[in-house]
Amino acid sequence: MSTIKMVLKELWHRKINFLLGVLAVTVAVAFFVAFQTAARASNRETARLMLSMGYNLHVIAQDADVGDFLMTGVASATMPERYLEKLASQKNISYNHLLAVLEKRMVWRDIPIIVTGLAPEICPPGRKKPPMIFQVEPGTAYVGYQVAARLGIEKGQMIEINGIPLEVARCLAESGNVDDVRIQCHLADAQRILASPGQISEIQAVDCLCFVEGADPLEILRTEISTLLPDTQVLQAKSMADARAKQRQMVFKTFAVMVPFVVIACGVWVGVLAITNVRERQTEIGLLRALGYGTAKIGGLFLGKALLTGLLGALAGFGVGAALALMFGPEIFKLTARTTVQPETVVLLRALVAAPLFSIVASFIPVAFAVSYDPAATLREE
Amino acid sequence: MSVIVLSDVSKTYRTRAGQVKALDGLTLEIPTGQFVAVRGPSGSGKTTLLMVIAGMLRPSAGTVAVGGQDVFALGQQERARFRARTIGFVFQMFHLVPYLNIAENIRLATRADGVNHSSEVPPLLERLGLAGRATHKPAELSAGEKQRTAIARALLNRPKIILADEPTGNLDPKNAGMVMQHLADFQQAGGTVVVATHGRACDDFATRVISLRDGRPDETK
Repeated sequence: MSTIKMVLKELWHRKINFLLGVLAVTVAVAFFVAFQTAARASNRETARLMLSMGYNLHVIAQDADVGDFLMTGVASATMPERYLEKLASQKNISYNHLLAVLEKRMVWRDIPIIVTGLAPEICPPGRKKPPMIFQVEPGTAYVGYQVAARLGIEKGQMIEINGIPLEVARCLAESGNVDDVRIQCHLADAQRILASPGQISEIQAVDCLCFVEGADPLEILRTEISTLLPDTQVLQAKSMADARAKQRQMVFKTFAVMVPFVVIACGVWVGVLAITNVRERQTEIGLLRALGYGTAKIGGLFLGKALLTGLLGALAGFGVGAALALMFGPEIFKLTARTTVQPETVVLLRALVAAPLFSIVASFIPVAFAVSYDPAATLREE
Repeated sequence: MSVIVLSDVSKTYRTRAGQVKALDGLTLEIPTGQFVAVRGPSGSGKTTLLMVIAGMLRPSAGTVAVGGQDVFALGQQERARFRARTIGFVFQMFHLVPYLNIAENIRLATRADGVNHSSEVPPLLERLGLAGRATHKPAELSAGEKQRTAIARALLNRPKIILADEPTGNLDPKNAGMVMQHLADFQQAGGTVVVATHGRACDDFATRVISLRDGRPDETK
């Protein structure tokens, strides 16, 4: 009789033992799948939530006064617009969501304003993402709350700054920050208003979520950017960047602690079941030995069972883990669940390889005992 | 010609209480075609003697030859194959695999032998009165039927020798008689039978009786 046929017959005969083993693997795989899905979703969710806090990376001209920039948020010197394309054309970099800005403080109709010209946001190759900020069409302007209120400006009205006409596309709601005194327009319009053709004052960006704990993100970013743009300075809104990195690392730390704990517990569970199975079948092993069956056949009976336990546990665990993620994911990750909380074929394939290996490793010691049983000792004791 | 030859065989077990001598310098020759009853109380060394002859238990001293082959000169795998070809074993507790049916339990012996004797299973079942039980599991059989299944398994490979350890120990007199008759049939067909027993169940069938006491023989028949 073939080994697989004997394994299947034994499984059917000792269904409870087998089902308990499958359950252990199912729990481990389900936990892994659910946690991995949750970690990925949490990562994306964090990124989305943090994006709403704005850009945290600023590239300004070498000549710009850093102190002045930190106090006013406006760089005092400009740099060529093509710098943006240079940054945007790079692969394997640690930043994203690039936005070229030209802005300047000025007095307009007797009130201080900041003219801010925005180019459409661009992403480096292969990292296309939805823009973080509104796009201003050429010839139009978004007027900050204080400016609109003080000057009585309304949507649809035409305004003129330094001889450049702009249609008010929106009057922005009160923000309580510097945006209330901005007039935001297309970069090309701002370059004409400020008589700075081909110039920008700042490139804003968001650092990526790829930094590992212990690395200095600013150092990495400065190295990357200074290689490309030697006559610039890189500033990072550190608290914002840290919050992003810590949130991401926290998820992975939790994952790193919980998964081994569950996997070890389930491994012990499978191992104990294997020990019980081997003890229960001691005389069968002795008999097979007495009949002349070798180590490969006897080991195959137990490892074959472990293999099937792992395969079935992987399928069931993937199903349970994916179902849990689909059930609870949208409640937890409201922004990104639709795109991130989904069963992944690659996770299933990993489970189908890892779970049988896990089950075989957990059963290995009892199986090693089984194949080394002395038939005489076993049968004599009867 | 002697099919089983033991020369000065000793077997000592190490236990927590100290060393126990199960066989003590035993020399024995069993010619082909004998039905040998090895009798003795519990702990006299009967089972150990059968295990040593079967090559399942290496003696502490002495040599064991079966069919002219020094059993323990063979490697473990070769010895297992030699045993499968030469010796059939019947146990007191039957030792049937619970998840296989009767025909499959009997067939277990054939693969170990390396020669396919599957076609001989139906006639064996017929001969041992188990024809209607082929697809039954051991749990569905009576003790007598289980032991006859074990005998069928032992006979499948057409061994030269059958070693039986208390084969009637769990059987009623009627079934015990049937089992002994099957072993006697094997002996009358030219085989050699060695039965370990603490009673007199096989006195009517044995051509030779060896009493064991403290691992030493005392022939009585």
